[in-house]
Amino acid sequence: MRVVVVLCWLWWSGCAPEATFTLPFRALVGGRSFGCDTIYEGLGASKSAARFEDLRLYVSRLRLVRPDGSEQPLALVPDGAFQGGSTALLDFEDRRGSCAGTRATHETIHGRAPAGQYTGLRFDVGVPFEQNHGDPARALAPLDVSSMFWVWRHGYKFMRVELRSERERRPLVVHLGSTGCSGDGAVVGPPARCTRPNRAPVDLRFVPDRDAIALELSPLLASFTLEGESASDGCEASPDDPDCAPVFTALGLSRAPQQVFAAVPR
Amino acid sequence: MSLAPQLIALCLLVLIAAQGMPTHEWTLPEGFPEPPVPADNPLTVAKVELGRHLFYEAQLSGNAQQSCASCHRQELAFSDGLRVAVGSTGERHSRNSQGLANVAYAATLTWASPSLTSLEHQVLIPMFGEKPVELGLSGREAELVARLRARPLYRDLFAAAYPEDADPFTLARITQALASFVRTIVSYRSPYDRYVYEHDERALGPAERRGMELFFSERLECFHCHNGFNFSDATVHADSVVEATSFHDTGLPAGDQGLAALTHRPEDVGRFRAPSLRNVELTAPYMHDGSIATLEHVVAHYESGGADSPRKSPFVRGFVLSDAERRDLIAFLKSLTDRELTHDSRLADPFVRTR
Repeated sequence: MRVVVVLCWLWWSGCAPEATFTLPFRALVGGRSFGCDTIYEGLGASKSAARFEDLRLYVSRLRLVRPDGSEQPLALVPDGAFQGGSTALLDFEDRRGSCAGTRATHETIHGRAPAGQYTGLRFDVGVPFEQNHGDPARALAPLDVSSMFWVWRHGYKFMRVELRSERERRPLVVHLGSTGCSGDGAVVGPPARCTRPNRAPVDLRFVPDRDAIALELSPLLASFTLEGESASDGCEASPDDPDCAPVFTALGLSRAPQQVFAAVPR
Repeated sequence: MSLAPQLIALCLLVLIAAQGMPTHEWTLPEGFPEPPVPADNPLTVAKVELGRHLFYEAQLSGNAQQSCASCHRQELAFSDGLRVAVGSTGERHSRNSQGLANVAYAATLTWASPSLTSLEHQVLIPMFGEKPVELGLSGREAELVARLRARPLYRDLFAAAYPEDADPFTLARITQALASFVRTIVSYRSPYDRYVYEHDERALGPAERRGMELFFSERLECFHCHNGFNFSDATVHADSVVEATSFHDTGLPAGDQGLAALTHRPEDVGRFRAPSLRNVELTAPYMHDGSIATLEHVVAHYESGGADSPRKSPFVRGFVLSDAERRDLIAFLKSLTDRELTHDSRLADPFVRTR
């Protein structure tokens, strides 16, 4: 009986027509669309006005979820720039105004999976462990973007959010990635494990073709003091940096659910 | 039909081509170990020559104001003489630029990076690091490649170094060449080396020999962390079997997290890799933070035993020297200076016209 079921499943899945899925991401700042030229008011604990200088992040291991809760991995369509393997680089900065990154952006992920009914989407913010600690000089797209190299920590920045306050022109940098990485059996050597992988899992109720994914930055920035004597310079993912704790919380890396990503109607 | 025969033929051709490339000759004295060379980056003469040009190339910084050599000057045994490094945009590093002599033997690179064991990987830090900005190339890798490609000199050097490549102008080829050159910055021609490896009794005078005895004494304990042919316990060579894993708290005032900045383990706070003492006469100022200006003051620091810290190395506990002993110890440290290294034309700036 089990053999028949497996054979049927193989036949069915082998023959189910492949479909292309487009996953549009929308970066928002307090509900307003993200833009490099825009001045956003009331940011952080200091309620400061600021302009963004960068917003890029890696997402990986994307899976569509069926009504029964089972997962269907989404095969990313490689494009030689932003998507390759199981990892995609979302790039919202367009080098205009205050941003100094790349002209090209990548806000919509293209993947292929068997056609079918899906009611959820799961992915990780971050680069999978297997790809995170190699030699970036030899890495293929999208892991060949030097702004995302994090060589001193022997990995990649999973997320790069940078802004500068309007009044004091103070920069605030949020770089997230794996920390506490060490070699196998000893401290020395290429990372075999990291005490803080910091890959943020996201699990959304999501209907393809109907929904988009909102990435709301305000919870990430809510606790930062952008200006004044106690101004923060941001968070480089150090577990002992008090400025990082709210960032980890917002991304669901503490016990609380993540507050940054949500499914929204297109 | 199988593709295997064609593949084997192609592999053979590539192998023959690679074998045909003259490899770097170490010219080390007998008994002086060769540094490790990664199997996937064989040390060819052409690659080292390309790397030498890239090392001295100001186009390797975002604003074309600095090269690797700006912080690693040959006349200072590839250190910079500054308390802390200053990057191409004027940003100050929190740590002192280390001399590069014999960095090929370093078990780990930079002052305290436990997982950084490859020079090919390390060179990416000065190139692309952002905190602090050093060469300032973050986000500008395409521009870097375009700048190099535009110069006929590099068309020839890249083609010679990587004859098998359809297009050798890639980041990986740049880092491989840089690592290859840096790997050849080997110091082995000091008076100490003549004494030890060439058995030249006259290479060290009486003061230096007395200083050597002090250095290797249990009374001073210097040699526990600065041991072996490279005067560092964090040393590997081509035939090493044991990995060196040492990082030490030397009793300097607290401030820099040291190894703990990466491991986040409280026991690693303030621990740093022991640098090689070769050419230490030329690499002032000293320590990870450049806080000690002269060799005399470094010795005074270790005489005092430094600041108290629960993590301090058990070998940093202070000792008493007479003035004569102190002079002898410093004379010995100066016998580790390799003047030929600082004048070796193979390591020199190729863009300086010879007079």
